Amino acid sequence: MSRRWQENIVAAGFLLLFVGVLLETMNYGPRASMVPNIIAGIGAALMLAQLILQNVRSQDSLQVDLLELISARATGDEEALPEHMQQSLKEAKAKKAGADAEQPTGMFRPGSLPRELMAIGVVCCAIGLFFLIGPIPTMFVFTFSYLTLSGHFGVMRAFLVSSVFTLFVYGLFHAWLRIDMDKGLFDLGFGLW
Amino acid sequence: MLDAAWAGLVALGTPTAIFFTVVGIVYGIVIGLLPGLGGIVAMALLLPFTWGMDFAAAMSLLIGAHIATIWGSSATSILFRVPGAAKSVALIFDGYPMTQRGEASRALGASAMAAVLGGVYGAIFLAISIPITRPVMMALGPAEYLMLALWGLTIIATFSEGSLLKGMTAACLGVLTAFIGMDVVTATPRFTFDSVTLMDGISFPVAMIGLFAVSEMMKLMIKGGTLIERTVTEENSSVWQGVRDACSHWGLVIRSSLLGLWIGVLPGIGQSVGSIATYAQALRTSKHPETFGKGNVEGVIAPDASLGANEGGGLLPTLALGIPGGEGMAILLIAFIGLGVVPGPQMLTHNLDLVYTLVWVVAIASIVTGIFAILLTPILARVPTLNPNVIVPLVLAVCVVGAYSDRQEVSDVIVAGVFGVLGYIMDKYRYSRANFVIGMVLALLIERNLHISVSLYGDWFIFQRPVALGMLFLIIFTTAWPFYKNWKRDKELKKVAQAEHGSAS
Repeated sequence: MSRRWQENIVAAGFLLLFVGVLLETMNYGPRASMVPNIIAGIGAALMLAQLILQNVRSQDSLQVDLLELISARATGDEEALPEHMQQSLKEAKAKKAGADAEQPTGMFRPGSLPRELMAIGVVCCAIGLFFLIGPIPTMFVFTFSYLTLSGHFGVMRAFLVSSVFTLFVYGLFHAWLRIDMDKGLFDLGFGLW
Repeated sequence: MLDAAWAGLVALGTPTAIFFTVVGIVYGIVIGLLPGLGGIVAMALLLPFTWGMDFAAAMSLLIGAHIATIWGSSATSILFRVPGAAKSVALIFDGYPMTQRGEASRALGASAMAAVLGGVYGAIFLAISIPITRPVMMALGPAEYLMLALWGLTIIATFSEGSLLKGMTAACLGVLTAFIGMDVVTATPRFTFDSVTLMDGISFPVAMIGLFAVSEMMKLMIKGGTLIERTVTEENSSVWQGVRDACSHWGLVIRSSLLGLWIGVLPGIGQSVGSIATYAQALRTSKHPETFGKGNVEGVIAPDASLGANEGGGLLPTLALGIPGGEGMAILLIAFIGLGVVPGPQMLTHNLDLVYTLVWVVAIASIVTGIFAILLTPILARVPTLNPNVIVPLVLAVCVVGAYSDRQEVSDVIVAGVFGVLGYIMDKYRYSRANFVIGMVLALLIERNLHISVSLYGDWFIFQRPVALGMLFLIIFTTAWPFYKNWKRDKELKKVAQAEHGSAS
């Protein structure tokens, strides 16, 4: 899928959200809906403009970059720099945007959709574990599994790191900050004393 | 005034406050050294720990960490040519060439000392500005505060990195997110969809953990590989050489600090602009401009002094107006809310001792960061070589527990996850997350003051309040200015192109 299509999907999603807000606020009184209506109206107009502009103009013309706007166009600071430094600045900005990343090929190459889905899956796993077994066991199981499965640490080292880390967090949150830990669906008995 | 200043210092003299200053600074330096994990991530992760703390200890921890991340990210620019955050980008010009020729310690020493001096100047500026700002603030009413909040919103949206439309959209999304829950003015549940959990609204810290910390971890997982790579060079300088350099260039430090302060005071103009503008200023005023970009220590001193001073400047609109001077200040505002402290004019009248506590925190944290930076440089320089496979599970696990511990609601863990995905999408497609946060912070201020203004002065309140009307014109001007500049520039370029085309034919 091209970048433009991805941008269109995201912008359309936000546009729908703003329209949804406008519809939802019809159920509220005038005072409760006044500000949300204005903001959602502005947001919808902005997204509509974004959708139109990104499909009729080149993507570059949409970018109003902070550094260009303030430093270069307004004060001329960036232009005052020698050429090799302007080049360094461009390189640094490109690096920040990830534009110059040399990516290997393959299904799970960095930045690919499967890798993005994998990252979302990892976050979902952490949340799911939290629901099932509660926060403290989640700390141990999640860190131990991640360290082992990523192949960065061996089983013993991963066990040691996870144990020390879990104890540290348990001490900090429960023993010191006195935060009551949730039981989880399967009450393993951690954090409830 | 002096009593308040003294009370502010005494509050920081407790063992707890001293302990948290040190913890915050060490933690901030480590986070700053990890590219991608800047001051906002550092503060977002710390927010849950500040609940129940006293104000001085919480601020020592948060501001200490934030100030320390600035130096940490400068260090990665100098050592590896990888800015830990966008604001440190100017340090790659001369910092890295110094590292290449074996003067990394000197560059780091100069950077640390310049940041200390800048930070102290920033704190002094803040202390001097408070008595001047207070009467001005007292003269403003709800209509003017509404305009100030709107101004903060539009300036930040206008001067955001990436697309202008996207930046403003992000701010709108943030405002709407803040409206989820029970409306305190009309007692109407808004956007709750009959969910009891959503009646309390979206917790600011949980949203921050998701938007910044969880999404950054997702980015690391998606990017893969090591954070950065570097080749080791033989060292032939000392830290003290750099410290002496910063002290001997005191004029440059003062000029750069003043510029950093001014940029910090203006809401929405980030530190990245400050460091570039300061670097350009140092280049123009240097006796040896030809050596810039080849390892001139002045090119390291100027941006770091500006970054150090920026903190004090950024605190002024945050404390006096309740408008965050930058994204870090927006998180600080959330911490204030969590601690039951209301920023704005009341802070300058009823809680002046707390304001001075912040002044002292900025000064002390800058000095202690400088000391730690000098001591820890050789050890911490190795931190960025850590593999994301180690960082991701540890930080993500803390995020999950941190999100839960905010209100001890399991549903907040899901909210953090949802905001994590949203943060990743926003970052990937350049919808400014900082604008989202600022929109979220300013939303309730806008709505509350709008309702009060309408109740007090009627629907056309703006025409009854000349100051508010003047501020409205200022908002329109500052929002329209970038468009006008772009239009004018395009027109000039077209003229040049037409002239060239005419002469060629």
